[in-house]
Amino acid sequence: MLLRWYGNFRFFTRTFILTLKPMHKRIAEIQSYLQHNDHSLAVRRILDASLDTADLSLLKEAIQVSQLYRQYKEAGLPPSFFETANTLLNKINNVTERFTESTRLLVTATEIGKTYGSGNFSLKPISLQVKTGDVLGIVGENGNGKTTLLRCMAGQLALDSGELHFPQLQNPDHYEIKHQLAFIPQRIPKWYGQLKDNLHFSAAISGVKGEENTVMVDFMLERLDLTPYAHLTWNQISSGYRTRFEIARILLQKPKLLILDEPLANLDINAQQSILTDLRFMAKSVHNPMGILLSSQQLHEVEKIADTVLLIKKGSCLFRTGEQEKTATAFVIELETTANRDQLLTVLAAQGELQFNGGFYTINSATLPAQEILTKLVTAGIPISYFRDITHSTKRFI
Amino acid sequence: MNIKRPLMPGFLKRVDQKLLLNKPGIWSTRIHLVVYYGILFLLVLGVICFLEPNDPRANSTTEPWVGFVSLIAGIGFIVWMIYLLRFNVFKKYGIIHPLHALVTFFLYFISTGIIVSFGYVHPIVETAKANMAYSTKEIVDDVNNINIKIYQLEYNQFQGKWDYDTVELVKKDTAVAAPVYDDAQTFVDTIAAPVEAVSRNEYDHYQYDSTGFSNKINAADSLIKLKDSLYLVYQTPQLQFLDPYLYNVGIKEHLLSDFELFRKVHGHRSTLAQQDTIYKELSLLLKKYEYPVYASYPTVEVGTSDSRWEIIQKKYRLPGIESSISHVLKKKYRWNGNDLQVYIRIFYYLTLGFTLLIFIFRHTTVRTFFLSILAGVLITIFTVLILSFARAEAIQVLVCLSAYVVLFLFLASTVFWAKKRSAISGIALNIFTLIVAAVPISLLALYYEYRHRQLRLNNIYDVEPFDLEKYAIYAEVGGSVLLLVLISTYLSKAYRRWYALPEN
Repeated sequence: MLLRWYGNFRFFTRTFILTLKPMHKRIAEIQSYLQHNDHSLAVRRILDASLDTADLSLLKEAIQVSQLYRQYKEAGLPPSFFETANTLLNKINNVTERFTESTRLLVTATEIGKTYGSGNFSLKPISLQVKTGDVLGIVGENGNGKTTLLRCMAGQLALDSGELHFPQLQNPDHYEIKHQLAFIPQRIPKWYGQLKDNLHFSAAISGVKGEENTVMVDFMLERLDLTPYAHLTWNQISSGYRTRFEIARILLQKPKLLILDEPLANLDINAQQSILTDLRFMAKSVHNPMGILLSSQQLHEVEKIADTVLLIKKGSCLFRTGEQEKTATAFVIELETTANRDQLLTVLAAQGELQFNGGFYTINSATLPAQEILTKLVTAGIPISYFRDITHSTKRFI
Repeated sequence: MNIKRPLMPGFLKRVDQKLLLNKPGIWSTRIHLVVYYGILFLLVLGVICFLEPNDPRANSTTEPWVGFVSLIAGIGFIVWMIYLLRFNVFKKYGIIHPLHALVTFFLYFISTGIIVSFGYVHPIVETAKANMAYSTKEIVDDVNNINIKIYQLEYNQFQGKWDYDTVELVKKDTAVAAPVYDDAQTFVDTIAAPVEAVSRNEYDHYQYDSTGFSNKINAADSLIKLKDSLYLVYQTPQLQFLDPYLYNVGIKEHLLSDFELFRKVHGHRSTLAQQDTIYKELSLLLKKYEYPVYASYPTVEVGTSDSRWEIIQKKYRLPGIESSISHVLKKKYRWNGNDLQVYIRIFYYLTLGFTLLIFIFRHTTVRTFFLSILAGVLITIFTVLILSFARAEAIQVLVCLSAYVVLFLFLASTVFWAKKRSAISGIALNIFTLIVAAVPISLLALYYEYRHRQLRLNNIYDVEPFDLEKYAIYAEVGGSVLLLVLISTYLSKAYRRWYALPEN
């Protein structure tokens, strides 16, 4: 009896600690952001954390915190802001125990292929899996099949070979599948009416009704920094904000799998960074985790946040980070400098090959890792304005 | 929805917001806006029509009004379809109730019905104005009084001899076909030789079998029996000087016939003083119905060759009065009997047709919708051409229509085992949806034609297989029920499957 009780206790404490740990870590991180004046990031994370509690009253408080931040961010934040934020964080801390993190397989694509009737392009068989919390990036040059792959995954294009399997859905029809996944094309279809009404509508058709609908829309507007634009129409906002609104609209539908085709195309550099990190956070949300599949030309940005990156070239998957990146046979460095080729070759001392594409030098070395090359360059007094190790990046194939 | 809309009250904004947050399926049909603005427009239109300076005695102005209002209704319909019906739960793959398609169809029907009803406002208001201006009893009494007074004033002119026909009973084989009078009436008594009789024509001698003879005798105003099988049948001179077109059979029973007028006035010759009073009263009555436009009639001068009847008509300007009364009656009885059924059918089928087009538009891609319209038009043209060249009869046309229904149903059903979205199955599904309500009435017509054909093959011609009109209403109702049942079952599933299928 005692042993059984002890066993239960151990199981409970283990589960409790395992469950609370990441959440407590998040709260601690947010408090750290607040202390170090990373207020914008802190507010975004507070919103994320409050969403994970699935408590409307906490969400409302988080929205108030965000509104307070927007109101005073130019003039300087008042002490009441920090007070409110910390009080809220404490409340969140107390309710996080109800959540457990687990990953579930969302979709399995087995050898899916597509050949267009009119044209020579064909997508060669590709297999991939997406789980909840996964961010899977598809990179590649224009016209190589990224969009075709995404549209196949989204159920928009009929497959010529292979199959898609959605383990979470019991005998789903195509409508049900399309209800569970969301596809944001590069060219976002025009919206009509006020942007906020579109958000309310999207939430309502996904079962988010009444007060919850209002709170969730306000939340999403704050989360994606769209509140000032909520009452505008499509023609009154820039293409970057249209992308953000589309993301907000889709997220309100609580999709299990989010597929984005070139979401960064219309965003400025800062927005690209923040949207990508936000997407990663949202994918790994405790409350509503989802899988994300996105394509982009911004290799480094995607690589930073994606769990797996697929490089598509001429319809085939040329490279996949993770397993394949272990197969790298040489160290590859990307370098931007005012030094000339001869100076660089002198530094390398025949331990590496040098290529110049007009903007960057690419150094391939079988023996010198990135740190050593950097040390040599610095020691030799070579001016460096940009340096990146692309040994494990898809960039080395492009 | 916070977009500033003109004349949108606060309660409607609250309704709009509540529906948006809680019932997106209903909100997206915008029925609340259509109902509100539709009723507002109906009221404004009703007031404008009521204030229209159009005398009930004048010719109806409904046709141009209906034309004008139909244009406005068309614009309203387009505004609703293009600017309001932009949110679609179905096309956004939202959560839809199993009866979503049926409910939205019903809401589209109500909205379309309100827009179609715009065209009915002016005729209804015109009828109301006519009813308010003149009651039926008043008109009937006035027409009778006018006829009596004219007869009293023109009494001397009607003291001549009556026309008569000689009517003889003969055996059936030798009977001569005789005219049949619809206005036969039964008398309480007969007046024996009221005046000296004269035959209009020595050939006005009719021979009837027993049935015809009996009908003729019963319908006679006055009789002189020459022998059991031979009568002189007298006809009262035409004393209904004012005989407007009535538009309602019921009124005729209350109007005094020639004979009744004769009985009322005959033998009561009025004095000069009385005639003066009668004339004044008559003038008042005539003025009551005289519409200025038709007052041009009396300017027509009396000609030397004019008959007694024509002289009286011109003297009292009766044609104009008659037109005025007919116009009033036409407006009053516009909604009676078969006309009402026709108006209801026009309303129902227009509403149903537009509703189906909207329903299809909201459940299919824009491209497939327009391809379906094009395909429907082309199929109709080719079918009509082929059937015309083949000199097809009604039964073949109906068989062809039934074959099309089966074909479209089959093609539409392929969607349930298709792996790709096909334009052909989409077009077939759309056309089937559009025509399915007409299936029962087509089958009824087909059965009727089949029975008719069987009868003709057996050399039976003047017999109807059954009362088609009676069963047609059941078939029409059945068609609507069939459509609703299919929308909530087969069609909603077929559209759901077709729309979500991946494209090639």
